[in-house]
Amino acid sequence: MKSYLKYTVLISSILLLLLSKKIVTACADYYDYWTENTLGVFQPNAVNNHEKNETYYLTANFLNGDVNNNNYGKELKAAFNQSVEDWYLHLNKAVQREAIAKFLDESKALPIDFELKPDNTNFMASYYASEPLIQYLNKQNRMDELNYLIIAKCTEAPETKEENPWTSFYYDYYNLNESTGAKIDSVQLVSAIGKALKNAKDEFFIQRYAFQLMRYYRYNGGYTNTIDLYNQYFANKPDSYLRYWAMNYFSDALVATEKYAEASYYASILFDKAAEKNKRAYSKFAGYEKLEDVLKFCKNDHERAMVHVISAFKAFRPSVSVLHNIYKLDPENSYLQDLIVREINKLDGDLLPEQNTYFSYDYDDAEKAAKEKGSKSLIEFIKTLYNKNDAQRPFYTLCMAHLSLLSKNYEATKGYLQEVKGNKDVCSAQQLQWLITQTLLMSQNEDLRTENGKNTLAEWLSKLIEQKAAIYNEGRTMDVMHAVIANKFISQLDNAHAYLFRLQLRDDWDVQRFLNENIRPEDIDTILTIIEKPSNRLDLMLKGYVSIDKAMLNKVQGSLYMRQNKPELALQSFAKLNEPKINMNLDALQTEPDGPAFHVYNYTDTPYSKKALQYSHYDFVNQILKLKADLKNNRGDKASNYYKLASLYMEMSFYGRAYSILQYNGNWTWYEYENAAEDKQRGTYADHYYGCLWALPYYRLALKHSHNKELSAKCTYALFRANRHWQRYAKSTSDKDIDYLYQLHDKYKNTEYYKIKECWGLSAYVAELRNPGAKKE
Amino acid sequence: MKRTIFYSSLFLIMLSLLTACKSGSGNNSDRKHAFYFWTGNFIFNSTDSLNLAKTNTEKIYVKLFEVVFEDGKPQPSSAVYFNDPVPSHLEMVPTVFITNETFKGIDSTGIDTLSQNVFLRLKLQLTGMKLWNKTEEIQFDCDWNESTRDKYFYFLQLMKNKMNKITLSCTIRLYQYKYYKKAGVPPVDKGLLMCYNVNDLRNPNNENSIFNKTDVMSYVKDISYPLNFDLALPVFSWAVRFREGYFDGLMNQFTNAYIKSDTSFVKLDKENTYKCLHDGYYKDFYVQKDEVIKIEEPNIDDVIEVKNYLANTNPDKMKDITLFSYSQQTIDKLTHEKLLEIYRTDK
Repeated sequence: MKSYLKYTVLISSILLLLLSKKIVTACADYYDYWTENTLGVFQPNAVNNHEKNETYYLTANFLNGDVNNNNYGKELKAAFNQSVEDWYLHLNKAVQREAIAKFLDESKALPIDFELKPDNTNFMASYYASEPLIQYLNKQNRMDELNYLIIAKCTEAPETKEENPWTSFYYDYYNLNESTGAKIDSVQLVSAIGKALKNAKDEFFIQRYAFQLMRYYRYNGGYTNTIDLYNQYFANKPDSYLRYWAMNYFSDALVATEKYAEASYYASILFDKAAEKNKRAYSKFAGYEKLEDVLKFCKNDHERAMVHVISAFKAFRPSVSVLHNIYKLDPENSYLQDLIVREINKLDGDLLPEQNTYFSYDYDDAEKAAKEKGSKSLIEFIKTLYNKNDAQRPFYTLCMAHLSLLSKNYEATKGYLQEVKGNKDVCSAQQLQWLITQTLLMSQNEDLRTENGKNTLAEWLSKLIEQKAAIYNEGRTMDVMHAVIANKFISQLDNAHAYLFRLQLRDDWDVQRFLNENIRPEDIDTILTIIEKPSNRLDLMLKGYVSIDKAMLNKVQGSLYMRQNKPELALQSFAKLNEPKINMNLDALQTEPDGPAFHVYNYTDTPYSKKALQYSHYDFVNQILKLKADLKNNRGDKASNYYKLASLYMEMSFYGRAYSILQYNGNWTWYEYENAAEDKQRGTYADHYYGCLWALPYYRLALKHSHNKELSAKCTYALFRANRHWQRYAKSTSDKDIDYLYQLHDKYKNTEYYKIKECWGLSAYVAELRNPGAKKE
Repeated sequence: MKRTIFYSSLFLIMLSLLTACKSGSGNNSDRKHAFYFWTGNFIFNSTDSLNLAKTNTEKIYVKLFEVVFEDGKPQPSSAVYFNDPVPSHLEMVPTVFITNETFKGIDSTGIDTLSQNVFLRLKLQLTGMKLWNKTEEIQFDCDWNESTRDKYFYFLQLMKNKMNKITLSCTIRLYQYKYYKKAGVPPVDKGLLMCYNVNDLRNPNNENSIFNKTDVMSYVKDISYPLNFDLALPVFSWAVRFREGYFDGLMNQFTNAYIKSDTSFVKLDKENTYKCLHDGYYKDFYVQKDEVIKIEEPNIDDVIEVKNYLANTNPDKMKDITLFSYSQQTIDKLTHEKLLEIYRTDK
């Protein structure tokens, strides 16, 4: 009876916490932290373009990893599979791996009142009716296994205990917070695991119970216990994933007990040996400790080298002497090559212009000098390794090829490449071909447009496109070098070919950018010809690889002509769009003030008005031409026509509702104004688009010719508004806008326009005007 | 005898020369330069490193978290997130802000628990950052008053008992400094006199709530505070917004230069006071028409004058100088040279 009670209490306390859906491996949690997967470079093959053999990956990716890759969590998955395999062998292959994995990974814990005793094993069997693993264990009466699984589920399941806000916090990646994992406030549970551990005979269970107990203590502040358990059960055991996972908790406990140097030493071991823990290990190695203190714990040169490796990864630009050290201690250290590749990538950043590498750093003079010195010593170091002519020579040959390329010594590059040609361990045939091609291309200085009547440049470029396609098929990206080539030869191509070529280089290339790169509208005709009637191999390739639709091109072309204020030509382009015809209501133009235009974030057709302005590209431009013709031929009311014409131009500006006439695919955002408009290059288009310069004279003419007080009031307000934009855009100190306001107040305060506060944006000014104390600023 | 007189004179001359050399150096090298990092997100890059190096700053105060009184008990809140590690060459002083309401709300048993929790959290966090055994000072910031004085001091005493070798400091506001007999002297190793926030910022009629020489001097003049103290000086500015005459919040990004350049604001008769003419987003703040914006910034020359007064009248008691608070905007506006001038003291 006594033992029954004890058992009941034990099981009840265990099961109290089994309410979670947390996946369980029965040896450790499978998805530990999301951060495990973010440092791709340490997990070769996890990120396609971080493979060691590839001489290009962006340093910018280094610390962030590439979370979008398809092999997300591969290393963790491998550790989990190992756990499954252990169980599979432990059960003499009697249960299929998939069934084991399913239970470990997905199954829920048992209900709270479950009591494990012979009488109710049927309940357990029915609870886990879809779990062949439990069914088998139950049938075979394998109580040891069942006991362990229940305890493991319990310790690994997050439970519902209220978090202690004083100890549960996340402040950075060195965290020792106690909010993750099991928080089982149960003396009975600890005692049960301890007892099970003591009684276990099989090493399979000993290690697992010890691990679970360590886990419990690690997350419940029992750091000394964690350390003791590691020393007792794992320190002298052979390598296994379980040992490294225990080492992970052990090193946490060392940090918690302020044994920082020792913790860093174990972090370097984890970094080296447990791929799924390398991000965690990297974080734990905070770099506050003196290296000598950490090195004291190392048992051999490889371990010493690993301490240097991890500290070199920590340093953004480690000195070459550190690489020397690593090589001296452990010439075969595989991370040395990673570090060298990383340093070469940084040289790309230093030696290639920003537009080719997509990243740049601002160095001051002292940094620049140090960087150049560092670059030279890196080259010398790699040359030394190359000259050693050992098994690693092919890798260093490729490095030398790359460095020669960066220093524009193309002949040397060709020589090095020739040396590694066919060596598939170093680089694939595709990759090598690519390097050779780009070297040849970069080494060409002469005009390649024609050579013996042959379009050599077209041939070269089409070869590049082919290779790019092939490289993409291999899942790699080589944009950087493509950009280098493109920039080199862009001047040798006609504009249309150049843009199309660049278009196929860039995945994120968009029409907006297309416009911003100052393409000329007449180039669009050439592009359309290339697409419709390709005349050579390059045209065919571009047509095949560039996805660009004709309607978009026509829209872009029309916008470009409008930017040049050539509505006649724009009309021809827009006519090809076949948009539905709309009867524009010109009376609706710009009747509302644009006060709120400065703070609309959402992408609506109309930046400020609740009313959408109905128009088509063709109609809009047609209205401009029509009004111009009317004005020229003295048809209709001159003032009114000028007002409408001005308003059409105003609507086409940044502040208008038809801004897409000029800004194809543009998003009207405050960001655009702050970042693009403020840094804008002054020019015809920008003067109008941000400064309303085209609208201003027409409003003035409208006011000049107006005999209607209402229209005059509208024109005066419009002039205030347009002037205000102009002053803001041109950073003018003029207060012409305010003059118009006073004029409006003095001359037109009795108009309906003024009275109905259609120009409500004025109200603050008006209030100032009406305030006797107000002074004209 | 003659020889004795000669040697005595020679000794005196040399002594005078030595003294003259020392005092002529101008800077008091004993006084550390420090900056407050009062931020929710600790970001530290090479530019920050350079800024601190150029201003000889050796120490930074970082607010780790706050303690507020919520749901009937003290709770941690607003913890700083460390995006970057604290550079190892800098001394970090972890600072904890505790609201006065916390001490109003708890009894002495609660203070025992609070001290245990605060200590546990500090130790856990600093150990995790590998800084616990490097920590030389921990600071508490609380605007205590007569009614909470005893509880706060009891809390400080408990913390002091736990701190072992770590220096315990706490902030002292100007009125606590002047009226120390009434406000009490906290049981800490040293104080930090906050020479700013002199007036109620919510009152639109106050000229400058951050720093006003006359007001500050009225608090510090002829006071002999019984405790050693560091000095905290203001280098920040802010814009106080008022809607219909009532305080409506602060905007840190607004400066005089910005607001003058924006035609959406008109200057009012009152100094540094503007009125918004249009609803809109300005520097990421939505400001409504007719709101009154008051730009407040300390006059740095006045700040230096007050610092000199305190340094001269408390040559031994006044220790390090801390500037509140660090931002690139402050550095750009004041320059490294000006900041060094603020730090500089003659002793």
